[in-house]
Amino acid sequence: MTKLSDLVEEMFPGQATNPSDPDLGPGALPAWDSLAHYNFLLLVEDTFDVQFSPEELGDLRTLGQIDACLKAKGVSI
Amino acid sequence: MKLILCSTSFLLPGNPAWAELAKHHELNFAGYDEWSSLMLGDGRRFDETNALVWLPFLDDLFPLSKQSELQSMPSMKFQEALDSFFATVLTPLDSFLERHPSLPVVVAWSAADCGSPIESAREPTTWQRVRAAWQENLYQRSSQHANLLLLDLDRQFSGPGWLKCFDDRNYFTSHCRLSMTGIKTVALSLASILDRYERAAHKVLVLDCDNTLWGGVIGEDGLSGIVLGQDGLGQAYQEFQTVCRYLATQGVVLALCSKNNEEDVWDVFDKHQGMVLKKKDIIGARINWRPKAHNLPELADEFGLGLDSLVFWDDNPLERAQVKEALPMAEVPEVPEQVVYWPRFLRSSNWFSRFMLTEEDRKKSLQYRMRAQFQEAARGQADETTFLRDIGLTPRQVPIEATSLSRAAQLSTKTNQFNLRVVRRDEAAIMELCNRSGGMGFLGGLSDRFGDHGIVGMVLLSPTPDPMVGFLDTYLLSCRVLGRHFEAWLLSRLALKMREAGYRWLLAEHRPAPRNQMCAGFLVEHGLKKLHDWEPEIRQKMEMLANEMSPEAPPQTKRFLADLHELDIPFLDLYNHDQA
Repeated sequence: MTKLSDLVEEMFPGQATNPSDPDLGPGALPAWDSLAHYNFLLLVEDTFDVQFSPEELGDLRTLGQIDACLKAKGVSI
Repeated sequence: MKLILCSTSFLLPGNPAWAELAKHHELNFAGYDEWSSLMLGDGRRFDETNALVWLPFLDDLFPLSKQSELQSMPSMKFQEALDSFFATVLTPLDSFLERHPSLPVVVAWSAADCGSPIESAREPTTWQRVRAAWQENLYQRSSQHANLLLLDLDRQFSGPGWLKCFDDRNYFTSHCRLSMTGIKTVALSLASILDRYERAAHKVLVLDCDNTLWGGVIGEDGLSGIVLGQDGLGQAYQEFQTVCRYLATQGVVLALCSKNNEEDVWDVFDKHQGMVLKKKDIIGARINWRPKAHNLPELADEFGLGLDSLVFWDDNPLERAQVKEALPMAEVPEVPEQVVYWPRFLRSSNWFSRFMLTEEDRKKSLQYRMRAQFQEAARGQADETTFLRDIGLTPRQVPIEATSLSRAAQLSTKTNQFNLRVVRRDEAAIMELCNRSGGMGFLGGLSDRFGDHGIVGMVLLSPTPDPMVGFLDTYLLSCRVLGRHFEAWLLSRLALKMREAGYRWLLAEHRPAPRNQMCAGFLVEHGLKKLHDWEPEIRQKMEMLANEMSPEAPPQTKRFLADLHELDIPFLDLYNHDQA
């Protein structure tokens, strides 16, 4: 089963020392800027077959928040 | 290639959906809405660039307010306004094309229409007219500039669906009109076009026959038994042939590569009413029992082409995998499992697509045919053993009992090609033979990494008046597993069982039948000796027994004998994980 840390690796290969760190988000890695974060959220949507609302796209900043949001949408990860 | 991509919309650089394009090209994205200044600029950015990609979305260039403005104009004025509008919008492109006559420029546009169907029920909408004019303007330019390549994205979006390709949420949050599916579709389409720019189209479509051009096995089912041209599946095979024939009219060379008796295949071409393809459509053919990986290079040689010009179409995943492994240059598509999906799959493929098709292209087939006739004698050999070792051949011995009896009888009735004697046995006869003292019979099942092929072989042994000698009554193998040397494993199981039962000799014969030539050499190749090669004393004794066991054997029948203690069967190392 795909995990968020897999997607971190896919987007930022070899860059995160702990890709499961729930505090990871924009600014945590040099390449993780706001555009990369937007792309990351779309990748999460595509992978887990969910749709974030425009508000969620703005509010979801860290892996921990994304994880919680996915669980609230019924995704088991 | 090093690409610069620009658009009227934001393209989400770095999005993983671009991966298919990024796999073979270096992507450089211009800034949001920078397209016109980029194209009108001094061009220094293009000094080390191999291609420009412009992705205009007509929604951006031609907003709803502009449509309302045009809508209220009388017809003449409408056209004038449209022409003037396009002249302005396309000025940067025209300027760029003039200054960069050899740099490939791809214009990939979308003019997706989201209006109600009611609006266009009586006359085209403004949007439809704008869209048509836009397309006309672009194709006019492509006829003047050989470096301009056009990509109507809406054609491509119709595959996954417009609603899946666009995402209004992305537009209002990031100015990107596309969803990830949309970006993936753009990336794949661009990759196809750029690939063709760099690489010539494939030229030859090599087709298998059984379960590819028709349903069923001609050698087994006969001319009246194959599925072709009726409703349902037969129609799907026919439609597939229609697409093949259409490709032939587009300059694609059609060839056959089939494990079959050659005359059986041509019989279908000559006599079956459902055939769309005719013999004259086939430019080259290899119809024999040799590995296809041997035949394909010969075909390529015949045509004077490299293997990378070939697309090999076969329903059988084993054949495909063997060819893929042996001939990585050839294109071997993983065709859909169901034939009903083949016509569209082939029609929408890129392998044979060209930017332009000339009259010369259409005449190519004739040249290939001549060359093929000239080269026909040159055929090579190859070894398939290494491949077979890797595919996890897993045989199993299946007893003949109530649950398997009908399959046993079916195999006896239907198997024509790998069938040593072609003596048909019904359920009762099979059971009687198995239950006879000294009689034995079993079935063989086979699976490998491509799946379970089910029960595909049968062996029946009849006792003879000499308790040391068993007579091979039935030895057959379904066509679907040919090429895996499963016949060797079956023989080894028989030999083992016979030795356990106290037999010393295996007496066998090959009765020639219309379609069983392929197994004529099997017995000698697997350790048995021709009867007349044995010492006179043994030969005479066995000849008498054989005559007794097989009194109706036709004169062309060949008889064979093996001493079970000396029988040396090849290819058994392929089955060293034997689970039986």
